[in-house]
Amino acid sequence: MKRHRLVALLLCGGAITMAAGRGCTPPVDLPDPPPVVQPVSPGTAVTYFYEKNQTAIPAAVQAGIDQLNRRDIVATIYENDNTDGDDDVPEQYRVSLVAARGAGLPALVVMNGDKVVNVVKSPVTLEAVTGAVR
Amino acid sequence: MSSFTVLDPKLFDVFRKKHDGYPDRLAREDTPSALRDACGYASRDFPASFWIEPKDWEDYARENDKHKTHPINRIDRFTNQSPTHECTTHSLRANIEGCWNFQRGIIYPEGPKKGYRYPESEKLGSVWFSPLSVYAEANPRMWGGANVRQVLEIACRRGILPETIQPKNYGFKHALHGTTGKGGTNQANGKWVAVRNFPEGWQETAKLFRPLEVIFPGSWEEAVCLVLHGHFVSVGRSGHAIPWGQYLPGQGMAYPDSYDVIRYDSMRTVKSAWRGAFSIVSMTVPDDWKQLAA
Repeated sequence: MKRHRLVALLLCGGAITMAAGRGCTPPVDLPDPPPVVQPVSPGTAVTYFYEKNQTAIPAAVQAGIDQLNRRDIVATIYENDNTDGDDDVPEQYRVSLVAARGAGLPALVVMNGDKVVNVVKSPVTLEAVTGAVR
Repeated sequence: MSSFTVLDPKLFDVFRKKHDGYPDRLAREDTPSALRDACGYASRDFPASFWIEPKDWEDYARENDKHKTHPINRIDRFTNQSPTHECTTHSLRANIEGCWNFQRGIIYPEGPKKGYRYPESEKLGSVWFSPLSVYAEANPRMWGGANVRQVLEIACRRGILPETIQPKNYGFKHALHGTTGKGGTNQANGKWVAVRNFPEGWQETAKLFRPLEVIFPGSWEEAVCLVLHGHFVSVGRSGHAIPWGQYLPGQGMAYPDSYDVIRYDSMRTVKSAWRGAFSIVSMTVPDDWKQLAA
């Protein structure tokens, strides 16, 4: 009896060793790992768009914008009625402003060049701002 | 500085004995209707969205302490007008520079420091505006001061010029020294210049820097709310004009005085000086933050 138990243990140990993959393929087919989802998008510019008659900007959001600037991302704040010196919508905001108004103000828009890569509606925390862009 | 630091009461309401930058005869003209008329399309009432219940003011002050989002954290320099009568325009320049940096998204955690230039001022596009470029039109006689109505009307109509000293060479086509007073490391000083002697074509540059929305608080409580939301509130009292830059619960307001120093107004002064107050909450924005002179 003791010998049979010893053999069984050795066999189990061998099976375990084999299952550990030391020179052997796993005995069970595992599904392919799911694709890694990038939680944030790369961005060159970020803008918090708001309408002052609807919203005052939370201090945490303001701080998040500043932190993005220190990561060499052009992060700014744009009031819905802002214009340039010629009373036009500034060129750098023409695409992002449309995206923001489409989403509903306030909105944080992340741009990569002239492409919108992310829109966050009504962020209120610092992390919601800094986490919106890679 | 923490908003809850208990300050020596002697530091409050320190008014210069002689100051004619905001004389009574001019201050009387700063009625609510006159100020709104002066700003024209830029005039705004205090929005309901900006109201903060007084019981929540301390919480907002704590948030601003935590995130360094007081108005005073939006400017990176002092100015020095001594011994001129330019105070209303120095107060205006703090308001405009604060608005510019607010929109640019820059915070200066320690606020203005005498004789110090922040490295990030150059990197992040801080612009310094010339009080003299407005004062010269508000008062061509140089001495005797100017009121809020005058300087706001000028700024809203045609904008303000950048100073000749900047954190970075932005390539501005037109600029003017900031004051005929003392100036300093971050402010150019020089001789009196009549408007007719401004650099030719100066209007093309001044219009790039113009207030778009100016809020007039209807009460001292609304003035506090504006400051708690990160916007300077410029006021005139006791012959001098200054910009409130940090609300100190139970004590009053801190402000960057145009003499290279932080000073304080008591709550008693806040409750009487708010009339004639204004806050620039939005201004013109460049087509490209990296090419301001374009």
